[in-house]
Amino acid sequence: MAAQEDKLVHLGASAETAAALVAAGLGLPADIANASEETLETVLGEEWASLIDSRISRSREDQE
Amino acid sequence: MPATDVRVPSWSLQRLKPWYPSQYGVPGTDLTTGLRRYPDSKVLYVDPNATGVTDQRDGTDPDAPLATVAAAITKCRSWHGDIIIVRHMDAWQYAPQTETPIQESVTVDKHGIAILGVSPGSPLGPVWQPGGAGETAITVAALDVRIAGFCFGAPLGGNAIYSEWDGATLWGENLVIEDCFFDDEVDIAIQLEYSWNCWIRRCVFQECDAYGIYIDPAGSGIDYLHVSDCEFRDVGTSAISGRVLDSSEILRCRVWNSNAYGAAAATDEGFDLAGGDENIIADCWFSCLLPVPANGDWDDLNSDGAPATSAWIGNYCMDGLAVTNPT
Repeated sequence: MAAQEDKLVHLGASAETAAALVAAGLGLPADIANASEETLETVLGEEWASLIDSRISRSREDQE
Repeated sequence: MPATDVRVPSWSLQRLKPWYPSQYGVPGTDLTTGLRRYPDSKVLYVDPNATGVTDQRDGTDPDAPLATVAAAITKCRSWHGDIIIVRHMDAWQYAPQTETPIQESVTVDKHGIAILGVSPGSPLGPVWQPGGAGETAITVAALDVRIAGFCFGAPLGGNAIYSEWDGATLWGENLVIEDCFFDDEVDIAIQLEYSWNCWIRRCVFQECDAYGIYIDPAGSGIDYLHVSDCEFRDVGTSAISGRVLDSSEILRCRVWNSNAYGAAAATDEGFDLAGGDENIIADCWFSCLLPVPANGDWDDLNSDGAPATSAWIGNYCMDGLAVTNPT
């Protein structure tokens, strides 16, 4: 598993979610925080929010 | 501090024959390579004030040092136990200043090296300033780097140490920063970006303008940071700003804050861990009062996540033991 994927899994994402995020160039929590909802929805489907661990998405919530 | 207490396990040394003469009948004692961490590791010497100093040399002879740390880094190899030794100079802001400090903004891109300021007589160490206004003295983009024994300043403004991991081109992680002094000219002393397993020990943050240890809340967050035995003295915005700091330890630190001491507003000028999870903050001392509530009290000076998920244990205010997480 690539290093970015491994860290995302360590933060609570599933292996499938981590792989999808990294493949889409969203391998860092900051990338996820800065991505639009449309982008995340495209990558992860409509239920993207529930697929991301709270610690990963926290910075996104802070920014919003 | 660096004068007497730079702890480097298995410090590789250049054996100098006048100091370590060979012994008859003992194989190997006539070698000049001396004790090393690994058989082929090397020690590079940097002294910009040495007579005739230049970067156009090997750098492993203490009598013929290199002029710049940047040149020394280029001569290091990853994970070979290579060490860069920087000699002390009289560039401290209250010193005669007949010599020049290290004035460089370098990127450490070799894994597993150590950059050490050696100062047999001072608690502060060799002075290191960024190469230009607003720059950062050391950017760590490699794994397993140790930085110890320096006095960081920034007379033109700027930052001291920045480490970043992105898993692609930047690998700043497992960083050790020990026995360093960050003076009142520094804006951000240490910034970590997605750099896990970093250790910051026995450092002094002396009136840094913005942050002692900063983790960008819009960044990717930090896990497994260990901060111990540090002194934070009137750091401007926050001694530690860790709003995305998780699973970390802050132990045995002292925080002096003049605003808190004088019961003036000191909002999050101590440890701002609002949003942090699963951290242990233990055995620290603060120049504030227990929750009143009032300006400059425990809750004003520090913050924890809401709901709190960290353990603040055995931390003392001026009037007693704090038994609640700061809010």
